[in-house]
Amino acid sequence: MMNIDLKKQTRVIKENLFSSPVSTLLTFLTSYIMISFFRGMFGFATAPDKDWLSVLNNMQLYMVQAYPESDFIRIWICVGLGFIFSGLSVGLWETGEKTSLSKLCLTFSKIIFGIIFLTLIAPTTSVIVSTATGIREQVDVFSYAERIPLLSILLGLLVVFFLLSKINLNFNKSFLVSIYLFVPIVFLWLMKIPTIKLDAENQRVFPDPLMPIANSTKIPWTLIWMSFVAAYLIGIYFKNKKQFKTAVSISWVLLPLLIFSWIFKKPLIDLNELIRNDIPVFIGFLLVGVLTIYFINNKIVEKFYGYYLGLLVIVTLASLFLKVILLVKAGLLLLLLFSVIIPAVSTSAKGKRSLTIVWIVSLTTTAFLLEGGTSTTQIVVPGSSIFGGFSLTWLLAIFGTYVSFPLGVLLALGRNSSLPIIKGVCTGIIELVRSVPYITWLFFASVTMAVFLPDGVEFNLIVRVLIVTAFFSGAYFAENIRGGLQSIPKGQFEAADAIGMNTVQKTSLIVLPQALRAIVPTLVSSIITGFKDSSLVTIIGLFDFLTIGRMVIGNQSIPINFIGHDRENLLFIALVYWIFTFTLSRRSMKFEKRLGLGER
Amino acid sequence: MVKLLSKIGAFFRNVVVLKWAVQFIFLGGLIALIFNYLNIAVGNLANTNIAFSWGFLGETPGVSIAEGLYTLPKSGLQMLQTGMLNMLRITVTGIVAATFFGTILGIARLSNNYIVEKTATSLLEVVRNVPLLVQILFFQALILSLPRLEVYDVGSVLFHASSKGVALSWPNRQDGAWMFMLYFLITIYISNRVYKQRVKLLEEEGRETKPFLWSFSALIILLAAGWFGGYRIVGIIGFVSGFISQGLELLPGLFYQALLSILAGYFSFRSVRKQIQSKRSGELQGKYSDDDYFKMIITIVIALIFIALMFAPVGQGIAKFLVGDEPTFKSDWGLPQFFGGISNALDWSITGTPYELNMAEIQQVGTTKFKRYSNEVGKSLTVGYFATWMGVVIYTAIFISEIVRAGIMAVSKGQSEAGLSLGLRRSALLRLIVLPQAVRIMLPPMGNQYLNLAKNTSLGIAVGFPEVVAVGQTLYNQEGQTLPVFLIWMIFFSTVSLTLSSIVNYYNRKLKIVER
Repeated sequence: MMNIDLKKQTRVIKENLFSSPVSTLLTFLTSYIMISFFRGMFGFATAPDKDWLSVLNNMQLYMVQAYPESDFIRIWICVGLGFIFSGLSVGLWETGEKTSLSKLCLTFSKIIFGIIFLTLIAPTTSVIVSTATGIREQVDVFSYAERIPLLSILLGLLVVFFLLSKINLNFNKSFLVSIYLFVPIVFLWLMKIPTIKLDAENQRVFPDPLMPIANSTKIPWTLIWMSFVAAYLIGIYFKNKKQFKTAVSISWVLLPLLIFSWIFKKPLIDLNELIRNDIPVFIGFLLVGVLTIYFINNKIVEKFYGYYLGLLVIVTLASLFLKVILLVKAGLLLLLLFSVIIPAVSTSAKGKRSLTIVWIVSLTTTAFLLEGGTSTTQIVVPGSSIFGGFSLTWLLAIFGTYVSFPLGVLLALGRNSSLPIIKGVCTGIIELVRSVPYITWLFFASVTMAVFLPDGVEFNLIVRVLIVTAFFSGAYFAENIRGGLQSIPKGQFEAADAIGMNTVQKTSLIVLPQALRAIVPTLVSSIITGFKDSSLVTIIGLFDFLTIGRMVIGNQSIPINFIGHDRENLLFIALVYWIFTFTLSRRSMKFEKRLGLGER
Repeated sequence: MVKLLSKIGAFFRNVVVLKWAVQFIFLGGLIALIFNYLNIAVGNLANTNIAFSWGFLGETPGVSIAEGLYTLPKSGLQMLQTGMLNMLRITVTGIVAATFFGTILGIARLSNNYIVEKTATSLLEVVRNVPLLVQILFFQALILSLPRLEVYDVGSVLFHASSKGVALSWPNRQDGAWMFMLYFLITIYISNRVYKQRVKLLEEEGRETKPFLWSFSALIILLAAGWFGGYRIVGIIGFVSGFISQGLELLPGLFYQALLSILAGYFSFRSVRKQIQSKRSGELQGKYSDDDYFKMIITIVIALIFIALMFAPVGQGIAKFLVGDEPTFKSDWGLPQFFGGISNALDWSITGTPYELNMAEIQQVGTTKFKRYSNEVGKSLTVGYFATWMGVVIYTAIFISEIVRAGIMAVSKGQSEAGLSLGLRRSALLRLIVLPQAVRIMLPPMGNQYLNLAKNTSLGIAVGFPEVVAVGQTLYNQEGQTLPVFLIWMIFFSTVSLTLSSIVNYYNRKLKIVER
């Protein structure tokens, strides 16, 4: 590594940067633009009229808005669950690629070299608009004397990494995620940040005193990191267990539902009711389902199965109009659906086993969701909803995708159908929805939709926005999926016809799996667009992540006010959105590679 | 009896019957659902005393708009027009600018130069992954943080920026601008003809005729002649339309009703004749299927319905509108007024240069101490316009750059090698071989991006730019008519989308490979 071939390096540089006079000119021009852009941004960020504490001090507001502090453990559990499942997934689906410590050290050294370079070219002065006169003036921001400690720390780290790179140590590439996550944890414990302190008269103390980060932030994050690593190791251990993988993938789908309906909400559950009604009903349904699965091949059962189904239909329909608890209605519907499917699927012992698992999982999920979702929450939040800030943004993004994806599949199938009326209606819906911008649909949700609802029915604004989002992104999903459907060669349909499949089987077993696989990249970019578009709800006055930074922080009153610090907050918001979307798009690229798309 | 039953059973097991039955049940259900909700809406609106009506289009809304055609609109219609024009202003200029920057960025991403490529890529990754709304808000915050106009009124000759917005030097329209514009279009047409003529000559006689040089010099000479007064020749059109306007004033409304009916009759006649003629030749001689009869009857029935409508109140209304005697939505809109307007704009007694280059002036607002940029001379972009424009253009340019890159990369390498082996220069290779093929791939996704740009302009509402959505919102806050405003949005955006996509489709068809 140390014997750098000087000649080769010069040649590479010459080829890449100075191959022709125009190229040379472009190199200098672009470098100049980039360096002055960096200097401008740096001067902008460090100028004394910027108060970055307006971001740091309001982190809680950003994340959960007005969620009560006494229930923060629920949010930590949510985040922790997310990290645990990420750790499990990273471990389970790791490819076994190896990397070495010296390579890692090289990466870190490159980053440090970059930081040293940036430190050296950083400006010493910046231009601000003076508050007194309103005229632009120059101020000192980052003198050379201030740089020496930073530079010496960086150089020290460089030496450490150089020494570490001598150790010959190989480890799995997927372990890198844990290391990268370890870096911010270390910073959490070592860093001291300025904090707003108020004196006896509720006035802000200047300059802001440096203080270590609060334990209530440090300790949960450290625990979360530790559980991430533990989950990763468990994942590696169970790497070859297929059932475990299936369980984790299903959990990824069910986890958000669980989080939003159960953990985040703190449902008020009547224990008496639970023991007297819900648990017996649940066990009853469970038994009926399992018994049906196990005795389906019995001669007598087979003979009377038609009557059983008919009875079930009548009971279910009746229950919908009767006054019984919701769990009974939902359970009956689920049981009916299941009983229709069972005879078509279960023949072998293996089929029966997997059916049982599916039955238990779906019944448990339904029961859980009903318990959590329908009960009133014990969390009292001033304002309309317990979701605010980043949690609202996530709610909109995840549930928007949840509801709109199936809708999109249905619309796409409808648009591709050979039945002219259904095709026309689906095309109409898709084109109507796509013809106007999202923001007009949001206005539809906030003002017009109430007109269409019958007397006495009222939805929360968030629910209305979710309904509209479902249709809007559903239409876009539908167009993407239609592209996937069109990419399937005609031979596939003909082959399916030739072995005597009906339309439903053909669609679900042959067409959709191939179509969805072909459009993974566009689907991910649609999800990213959905995540970004969720920021538009700020215009209709929901308290999402952007609204907090744009309106709430600037309007805080005494003792601390942050009027006129929009730019810092907007930059922070942009950074957070960027981190999430960038990571998502990079992950999807890797996923595509693994699926082998675009390689045939 | 049994036979009948089994027949009925067979009828219901028939695939065709089942198919249609399912569809009609679906359609019936859907219509019932829509009808149900409409009923609820009508009931609810009646309860709240804001019955559905279009009356607000004629009433004075009593609000002012920050910028645009009518800053103090006299009717709801004028207000919406202002919003629509503002939106179109951003859309059209934005499409041009985004295409320009996007192409440059796309080529930069293909550059061999390491730094250029990495810079373009990092710009792409930053802009693509941040919500557009955040970007627009950031541009707004950036402009608002500049010094105030009152303290900072020293600017350069070409450019000036303050917390009031951005001001530029701009060629301002004078009296003759409309005439010059028309003249300009005619010149372009003439130079195009010259080019084609020279190319034809080249192909026929095989000698170098320099078509490009010829047409370009024709354009320059004609434009120079036009700039110094030659544009007044267009005044002939104005003169003629003045006569037409006077002639049209004499015609009664009945004339338009009759004219439209005759047109409808003529078109249906032509369509039927075409269908008959298409069957007259070949093997299908004189054989009409039920479908053909059905089509012909439908055409005739539609024409008859149209003619009947023309003499019903609807037709009379249209005729009244075209005559333009009675004001509709507070102004006269008829055909005579239209031609009168043309003859006013194209008057050959107008003299002077059509455009003058001015810098926006900084004015005192009334007797207050506040200042603003003038609207009359120069060009000033308000904060809202600037922020929306910048946000939308950069965001779209990034996506266009991806399309350009993909388009150029999709042209197979053999094509450029073949071009090089023919001895083409690099510029000629790019112009004649690579770009025409790349453009063909690029156009459809590019059209999508233009549509996105048009829709994204609606985010101007967040920074106080009065485009059609913002104006509509103000309007329904004023009048309570949410449904009609929503319908207007829908119609307007659909029209814009359809227009844009038909333009793109036109070029798409034009550039398609002609296969044998």
